[in-house]
Amino acid sequence: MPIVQLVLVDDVTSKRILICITSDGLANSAAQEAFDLALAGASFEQDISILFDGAGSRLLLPGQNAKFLGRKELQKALKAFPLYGISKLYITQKDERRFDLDINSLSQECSALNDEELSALYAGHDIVMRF
Amino acid sequence: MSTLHTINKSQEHIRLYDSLTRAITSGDTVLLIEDACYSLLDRELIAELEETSGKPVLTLCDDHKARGLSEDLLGDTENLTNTRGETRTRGISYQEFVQQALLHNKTISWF
Amino acid sequence: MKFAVLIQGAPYSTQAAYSALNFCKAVLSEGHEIYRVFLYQDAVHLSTSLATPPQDEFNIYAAWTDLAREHNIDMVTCIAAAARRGLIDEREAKRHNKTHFNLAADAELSGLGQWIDAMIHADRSISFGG
Repeated sequence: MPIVQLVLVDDVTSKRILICITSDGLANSAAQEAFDLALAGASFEQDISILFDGAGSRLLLPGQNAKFLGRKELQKALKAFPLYGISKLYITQKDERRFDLDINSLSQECSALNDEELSALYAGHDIVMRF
Repeated sequence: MSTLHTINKSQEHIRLYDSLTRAITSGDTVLLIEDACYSLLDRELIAELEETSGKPVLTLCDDHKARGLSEDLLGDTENLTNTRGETRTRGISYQEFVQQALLHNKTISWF
Repeated sequence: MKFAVLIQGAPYSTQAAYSALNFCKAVLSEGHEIYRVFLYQDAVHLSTSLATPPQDEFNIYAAWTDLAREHNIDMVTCIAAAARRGLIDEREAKRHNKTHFNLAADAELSGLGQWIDAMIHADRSISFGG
């Protein structure tokens, strides 16, 4: 869980923040650190969306068990997203085809975007950060 | 809402350029920094980025020169045609990078 | 205008800290303001006090320290990302029962809330990745 300042944001302004996760969570800590940022943002009342892009989309595959590698379960953090009000999760239709993902059996409910929707997603946010 | 896209990897990172291309909307600007300056050697790639954004690609002068890339690829607002009659890419300073960041609503970094 | 700058790439392994340094200098020379620089992921290594690059090499640590001091830049190192990578200050060393600490004297450890705050209050946010 992120370490969050108790009093910081004086005038709470909500920005639309898109966090793009491009790695699957096993290779390095990028996905973990992107998750931490997403949860911190949500707890500061920011409007958070997450795009699982490229290898990042594999985070949503069901049946993963990082314990085989003695690692922390990122899927658990994923399941906590709705509790933090993070419900806008996206993958691309391109990755859906490329990685043979079944949108209905992913570990979290998300939308698969076509190219037009994807560029609109990038354009429609105030801040975009890639991990 | 327009976006300044900075990218820092060379043209070998095809997938990164593919993701960038999908994110570009008309009116956005692409700025090549660090190793992305090498991508100027791939005219087809640059043409595709420019076609998608409808704007010329920019490159960071210091990073371009640090890599010993041909000055013939670079221009400023005055000399945008090179000795072979091709269009030069506009090289910008860090100060102009800051100005570009302010001219657009946000910056996305592709790395 | 106020800029919030996020550095995500490690010093020496990537050009991120150099590019961000030059960008910040340009922000200031253009008459704008740096609201905050936040070091996240591998960029936290920029806060070590133990790095001693050869004297004939550019010293990225000193360059950042000098710029931050000269312009009173608020630079924050993510406490969780830093602890994960073995970068701790005296207080954290005591808390975790460690005999040593290695955080640079000027560096400030804090949480991700500092970056969220920077994004909210700055006019522009920009990240420099690895």
